[in-house]
Amino acid sequence: MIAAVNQWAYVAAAYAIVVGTLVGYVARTIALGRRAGRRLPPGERRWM
Amino acid sequence: MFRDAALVAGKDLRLEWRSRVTTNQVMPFAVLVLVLFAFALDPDRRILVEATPGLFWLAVLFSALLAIQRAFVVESIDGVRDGLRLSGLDPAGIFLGKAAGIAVHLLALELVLGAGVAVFYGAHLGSPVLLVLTCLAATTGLASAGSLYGVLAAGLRVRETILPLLLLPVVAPVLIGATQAFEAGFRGTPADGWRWFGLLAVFALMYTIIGLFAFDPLLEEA
Amino acid sequence: MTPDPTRSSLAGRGAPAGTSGFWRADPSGTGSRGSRVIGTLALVGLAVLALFALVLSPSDAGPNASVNEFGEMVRILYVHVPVAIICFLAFAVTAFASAMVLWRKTEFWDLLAAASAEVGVVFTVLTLITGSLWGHVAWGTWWEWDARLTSTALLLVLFVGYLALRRAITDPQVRARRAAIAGLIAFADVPIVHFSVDWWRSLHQPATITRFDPTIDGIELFTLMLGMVVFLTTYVWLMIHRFRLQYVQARLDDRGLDVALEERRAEASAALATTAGIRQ
Repeated sequence: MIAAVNQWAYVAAAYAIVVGTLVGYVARTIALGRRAGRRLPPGERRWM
Repeated sequence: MFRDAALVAGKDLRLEWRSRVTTNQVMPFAVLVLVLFAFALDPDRRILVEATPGLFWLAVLFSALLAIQRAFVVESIDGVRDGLRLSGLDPAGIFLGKAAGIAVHLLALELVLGAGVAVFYGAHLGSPVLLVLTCLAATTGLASAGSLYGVLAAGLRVRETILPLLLLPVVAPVLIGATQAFEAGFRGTPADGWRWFGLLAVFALMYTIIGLFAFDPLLEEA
Repeated sequence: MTPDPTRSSLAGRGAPAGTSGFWRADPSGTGSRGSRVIGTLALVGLAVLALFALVLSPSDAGPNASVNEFGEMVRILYVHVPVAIICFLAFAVTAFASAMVLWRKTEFWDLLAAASAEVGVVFTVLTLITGSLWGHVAWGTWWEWDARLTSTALLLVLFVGYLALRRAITDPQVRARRAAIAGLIAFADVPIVHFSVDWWRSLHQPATITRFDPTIDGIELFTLMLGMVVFLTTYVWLMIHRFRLQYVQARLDDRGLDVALEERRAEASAALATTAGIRQ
C-alpha cells in the first residue's frame, strides 16, 4: 500500500512535468510570436 | 584530389615546423593533463593503472581540441580561408589535407602521451599491434570529425567555446571504442579489442566520407 | 533564396493577401484558424489521455499483471514512450530537412529543420526526465548508464550544439548550409553512438530496461496509441508555430538593421521630448 502511494507520487510528478513543460513552452511560443508579429510592418505580416 | 591534399597537409606541417605551436604548447599541455589526473586521482597508482586507457584518450581528446582549433585559426587569419577557396583546389582534397595534417599532429601527441602513461602510470604495453592499429583508426576518426567541425565553427565569434560542444559528443564513440581497445591491449588480451577496433574503423570511414562530400558546400559560402 | 514572402510557396496559399484564412496566420501572432483547431484537439486529447492513463486503465498488478508487474508505474509509460518516439521523429525530420537544404537550397527546409530541432530538444528533455523518474523506482537510482538512456542524453547534447551553432551564425545562407551539415552529422552519429554504448554496457551487465511487454492489448494498448496521437498532435501544433516564428524572425532579421535604427531614433526623440518636458 505504501509502495503504491509512493508510485503515485512518481506518476503524478511525471505527468505534471510533461504537461507543465509543454504548456510553458506553448505559452512562450505564442508570446514570442505575438511580439515578433507586432514588430513586423502590416505589409509584411503574411506567412504561411 | 590527393595532390591537393598533399599540398594542404604539407603547408600545415611546414607552418607547424616553423611556429612549433604543437610541439611547444600542445604537447606540454597534454603531459600536464596526465600529471593533473594523477594529482586528482591517487598517488599510489591503484586507480591510475585501471583508469590509464580512459585517461590517455581523454588527454588525447582535450589536446586534439587545441590542435583542431589551431589548424583552423591558421586559416581564418589573413583570409587564408578565402585563399583556399579561390585557389581552385578540390574541396575534398582540402578536407583530406586538413585531416591528414591534424592526424600527424595527433599521432605525434599520442606517441608522447604513450610514453607518458608508460612512465607515469606504469602502463604495460601488452599487445602493441592492437595498440598501434587502434591509435591509427581512432586518430583518423578524430581528425576527420575534427576537420569537419573545425570548418563548421571556423570564423565564428564563439568558435573556441562551440567547438568542444559540437565535437565532443560526436567523438564519444571514439572515446569508448579506443578506451576499450586499449584496455584489452594493456591487458595483453587482444581478442577482446578487435571489435572495438572495427567500431573505430567504421567511425573513421564514415566521417571521412561525410567530410569528402560536405567540404564542397561548406567552402562555397560567402 | 531571396526572402520575398509573396513569392514563397508558403505565403498566400489560397486566400488573397491581408485576409486571414484557415492556414494563414493572423497578423498579431503565429496562430491561425487551422492551428487553433489543432491546438484544441491537442488539449482535449491531453485531457482524455489523462483520464485513460490515470483513471480508466488498470494498474499493472494483480492477476492480470504483465510479467514485469510495474504496478502504478506503468502509467508513466503512457507519456514516456510517445514522448520518446516524438523526440526521435523530430530529429529525423531535422535530418531530412537538412538533406533537403543541401539539395534544394530553400529557406523552407532550413526553417523546418530549425523548428523541428527546437521542439525535439524539449521532447528529449521530457524523455530523459520521465525515464529517470521511471528508473528511480525500477532501479533505485536516478541514472543508470544504460545504452538507451546514455545515447538519448548524447542526442540531446548533439542537438543543443546544433541549436547553439545556429544561434552563433548571423548570415542566413551560411547558417543554412552549416546547420544542414551539422544536423546531418548529428543524426548520422546516433546509430554509432547507440552501438558503442550498447557494447560498452553489455561488457558489464545486461541491459537494464525491461522492454515494455509487447503483447499488451485492450485498454492499455488503446491508451498508449492515444498517447501517440496526442503527442503527435502537440508536435504538429508546436511545429506550425515554431516554423512561423522562425519565418517572422527571418523577415525581421532581413529588415533588422533599419528597424533597429528607427527604434533607436524613436527612443532618442522620445527621450528628448521627456527631458524637454521635465525642463519646462
